[in-house]
Amino acid sequence: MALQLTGLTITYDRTVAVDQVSLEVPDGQILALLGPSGCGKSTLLRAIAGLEPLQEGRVSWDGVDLARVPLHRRGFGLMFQDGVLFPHQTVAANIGYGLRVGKRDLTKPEQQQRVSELLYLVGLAGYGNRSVGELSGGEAQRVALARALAPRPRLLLLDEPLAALDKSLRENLLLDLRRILTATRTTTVFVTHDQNEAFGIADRVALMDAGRIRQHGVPRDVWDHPIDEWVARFVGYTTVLDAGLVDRARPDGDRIAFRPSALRLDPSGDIEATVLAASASPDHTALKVLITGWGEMEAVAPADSPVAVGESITLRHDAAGVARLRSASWPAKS
Amino acid sequence: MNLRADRTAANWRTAGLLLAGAVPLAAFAAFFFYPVVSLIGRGLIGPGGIDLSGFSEVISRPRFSRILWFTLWQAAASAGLSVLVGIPGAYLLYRCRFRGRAVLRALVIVPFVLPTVVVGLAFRSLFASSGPLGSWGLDDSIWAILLAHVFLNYAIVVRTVGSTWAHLDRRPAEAARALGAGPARAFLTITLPALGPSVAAAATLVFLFCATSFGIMIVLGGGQFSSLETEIYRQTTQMLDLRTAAVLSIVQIILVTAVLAVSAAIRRRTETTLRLRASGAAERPLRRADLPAVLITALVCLLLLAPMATLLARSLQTENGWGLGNFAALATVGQGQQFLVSGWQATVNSLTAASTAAVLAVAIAVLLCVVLARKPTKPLARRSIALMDGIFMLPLGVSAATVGFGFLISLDRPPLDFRGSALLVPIAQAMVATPLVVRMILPVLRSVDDRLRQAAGILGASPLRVWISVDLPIMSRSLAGAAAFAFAVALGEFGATSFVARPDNVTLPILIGKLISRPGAGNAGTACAAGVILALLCAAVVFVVDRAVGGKRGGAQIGAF
Repeated sequence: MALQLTGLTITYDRTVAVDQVSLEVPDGQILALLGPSGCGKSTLLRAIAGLEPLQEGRVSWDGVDLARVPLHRRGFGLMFQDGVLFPHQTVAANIGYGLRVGKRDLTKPEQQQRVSELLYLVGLAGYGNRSVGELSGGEAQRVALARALAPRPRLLLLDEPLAALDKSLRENLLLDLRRILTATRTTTVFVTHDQNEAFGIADRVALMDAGRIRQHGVPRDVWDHPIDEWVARFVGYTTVLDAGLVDRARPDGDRIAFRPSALRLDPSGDIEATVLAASASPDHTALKVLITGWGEMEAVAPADSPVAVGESITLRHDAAGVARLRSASWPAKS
Repeated sequence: MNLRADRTAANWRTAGLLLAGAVPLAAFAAFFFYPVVSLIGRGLIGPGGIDLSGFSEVISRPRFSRILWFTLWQAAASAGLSVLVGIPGAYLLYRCRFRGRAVLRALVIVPFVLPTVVVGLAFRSLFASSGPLGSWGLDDSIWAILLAHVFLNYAIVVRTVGSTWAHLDRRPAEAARALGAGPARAFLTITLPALGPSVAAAATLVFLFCATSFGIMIVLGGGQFSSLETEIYRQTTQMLDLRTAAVLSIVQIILVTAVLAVSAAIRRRTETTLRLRASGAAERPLRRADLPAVLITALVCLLLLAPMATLLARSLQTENGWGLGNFAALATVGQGQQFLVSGWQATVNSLTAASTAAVLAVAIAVLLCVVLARKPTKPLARRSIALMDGIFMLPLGVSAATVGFGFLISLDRPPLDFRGSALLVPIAQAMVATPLVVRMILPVLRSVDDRLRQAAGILGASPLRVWISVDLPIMSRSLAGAAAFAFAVALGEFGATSFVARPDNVTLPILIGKLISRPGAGNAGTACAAGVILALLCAAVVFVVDRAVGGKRGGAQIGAF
């Protein structure tokens, strides 16, 4: 195990920001820390970097406790939400900074070579002499990524690196980020509040809420088998019902979570519903329906379906959009 | 990772910080607190130990309450007038776009750095019965003092308020207009409250400078207006009543501490993270509605120009018509061999002392800022830094006469024997200039986004390296401005220098003070010539540096506190 967190606790003035967190990130893997704003994920990231004092627990690398290692000797890379480039330096000087001040094992020409490589890697070849003030938001983030990668950090920490960008840019940069991190085989912790980003980039996902890790696993597993209602809702399930309502044969106290795609418009379906609202989008129509006994549910119909509000329709059940929850823990612990 | 090396590095870092804090503390202890405390102590310690009976006796004198009241109300009036005329100026120079704005912005700062003796002299020539405005009858009136204070402090208001205004989002005011508010109402209900903290910061600072104003009071007070500062000077040098002077000094320190506490509270609310957003979007060309602001500012510009023009004219007037006779007289040692040195020698003395003082002040201030800019998480460390911040502002408020006279009586025996040392003048000047330099550099350092330092640290830079590669470059521009300002302040320093300068190393302000205290048109003309030279030196240095670095990103402006 490369990075290991054991029982990490961080408090500010008696508020517990991070509560007994234990996590592991194997070499070369990408872990996404996913959670709503204020859940403590950024604090946890800063603690790994060495920017926050720990109340309890330890951060270790390859089994060595880092408590006494100051941040500039940890050999980690950190990238902030808004880049935080050095305003008085050029793009190349920003990227080369870690090569100049850190281990200093490269000669000047080797440093220049490395900077050019990174500019090419992040798709900004030839930008070296620009002032950072001339960069667009997306370019600034690419430079920040190159700067963090230049000294070949043993761990890269990304704090909402795409949150300040607009949607199309974010999707492009996410793909690039995945490609670059895989190509450089960099062990990474990626903090985000956006589940698409988290599942799009990570080998493993940890869901965090109120300072605690709620669930931790590979994306597919978390997606398909959320452990409780909070996690289910966070990863896109919109309705949770008692299992007994859906399947009278199994009134076992379990609950069932539905994504909108769990119910599809189908003339030969066996679930009767009344349309409450319909909104079109390019690839499907999102429906809000009333199902007797279940209540209001979300459902989907093909893009061009002529569905009118008030109409009675039949729906088909799609098992891919349903998850059975083991514990009935909603509302979340206070 | 080498654990022992890391621990050693951490120890070095703590040691370095302590050292950075210790050097300025030691300098201040030796050259500020020790002299001041010696002087005050001498006034309060009688034959039978500490004698505080003088306190109630001095305070109960009618003259004391008259002086205290005058000190307060003239400072308040000066601050009020400066704000009133400064706000339109801030609007024009930082919110509107017109040809010549950059030059005007730089020119506005010149009066602020002029030596108070020169400004006093210029206003005296302007309002003297023989002067251009002699018919106004303002000679020796309170108006001369108030106008001279506005002259000196106009830039503080314009720059402090202006630099906030330049970054102010225009849209809330536009929203108010769209909701039906007239321009005046939108200004009063939306814009002015947003500017409030910066207006208050500027006003308290002007109040402070005017409450402790010395050169202006001495030259324009005409013996009929006494403030705490001039009274301390009078009691020390003329009455030789150290007890009264000590009591008055303590009262002044309390007064200034109170004002500084208020301004620190305001500053804490306004110091925000460096805004890198360009302010250009908020500017617009002049419009018809700006006419009142243009008129007021034009009037103020006249007020700024008239005294200096008069001073220049007066310096060119000799007994036998227009000419350079007064400047030629500077090459001599005065009528009837009055002085040990010529005017030119005094100029050289001034430049030498001021350069040394500027180097000292900047060195002390930078070391101090390394410590003061830190934002520790431990409450004790945080409180110590706040306390240190306050202590180093005290020279702003301690009477220059107290400092100067304290130097004379305390630095004359080992281990601090500076008798006859030429260093005494620059050291005294550096003590006066250091707090102002700190006030210029510190906000820039404090506004540096802490994450820049964290980013540098995590890329492998040691704390010292972080300071060199992040703090220093960002600070460098304001450092140049601060050095120029320290130089100008030292060049014009009058109160403390008048005590410690020996006859053979008098500076220009002292020479001017001596010349105007003697009768004779020739002396007055020579004083004006010396004043013109001193003003040109101060103005040139500050104007050039301000034009070069001011207004650029991270370049603190002289006068914007």
